[in-house]
Amino acid sequence: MRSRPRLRKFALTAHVITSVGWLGAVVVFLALSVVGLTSQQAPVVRAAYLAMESIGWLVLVPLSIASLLTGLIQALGTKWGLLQHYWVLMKLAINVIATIVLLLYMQSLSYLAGLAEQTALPDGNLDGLRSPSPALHAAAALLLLLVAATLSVYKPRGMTRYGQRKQLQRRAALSRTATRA
Amino acid sequence: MPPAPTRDIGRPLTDAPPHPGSHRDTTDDTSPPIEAGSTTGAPRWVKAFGLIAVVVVVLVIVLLLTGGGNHGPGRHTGGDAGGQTAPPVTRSGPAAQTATRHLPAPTRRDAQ
Repeated sequence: MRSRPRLRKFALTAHVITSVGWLGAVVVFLALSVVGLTSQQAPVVRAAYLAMESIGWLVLVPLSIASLLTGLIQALGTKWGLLQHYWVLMKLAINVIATIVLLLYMQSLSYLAGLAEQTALPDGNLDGLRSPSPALHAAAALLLLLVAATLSVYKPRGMTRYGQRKQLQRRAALSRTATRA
Repeated sequence: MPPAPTRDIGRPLTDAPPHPGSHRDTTDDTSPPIEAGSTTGAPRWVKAFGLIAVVVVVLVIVLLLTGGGNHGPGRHTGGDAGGQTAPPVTRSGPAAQTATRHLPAPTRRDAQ
């Protein structure tokens, strides 16, 4: 399943944009979570949690899913394959894990945003709203996405057993073609 | 007129195949390197990453079992939060103008 060069470039561009965009959005999310955790002003804390929920649903979730889908297209549409190289496999694992945890965590985030939106919440009760959880999740996500980005650039060597078998098959096919010519 | 350089005469127009075992520049995302002699096990960097992943997973499990037992999305979405009735939280945002969410009361951990 090989795609044409122009289509491949387009898929690669889409994958880079969505993945880097996801990473950037996580940095913004991390900054907001720190603001929500440390600010002494109640409106700022509330706004931070509400903004985090919006960023989560409107930016993080779409970008994570888009990154996963474009990555799958990119891997399956090129000679790299999805399961042939360790770095591709590791990126796939990172993307799937990060997306699942994000989708699960959005429930907690929606709860915190709902709490921040309660008009009856007294300013003195901000401690009930503050939580280190968003910052911890964002920091872990940032670390994972940085690893994925680094793997994409360096592409460290190493083929899986499946990849080695496929490579041997390709070599055999090439040598057969060469002997015929 | 100086003679044309002759160093490229006889050189093929296409790139020479990479030396076996060498790692060709992989900035071209469409051409994976040919990895000769790669029939051994996983490379060291994969083993190192695997080890780190195992340590992190074990640490998370230990943390969950020791101190963070109520971690996870379920703590906010359970039907009953410590026997308390969940107070309704009405959202006024654009995405929630037509919906009223019933959320559980904050747990003790949240209140800390």
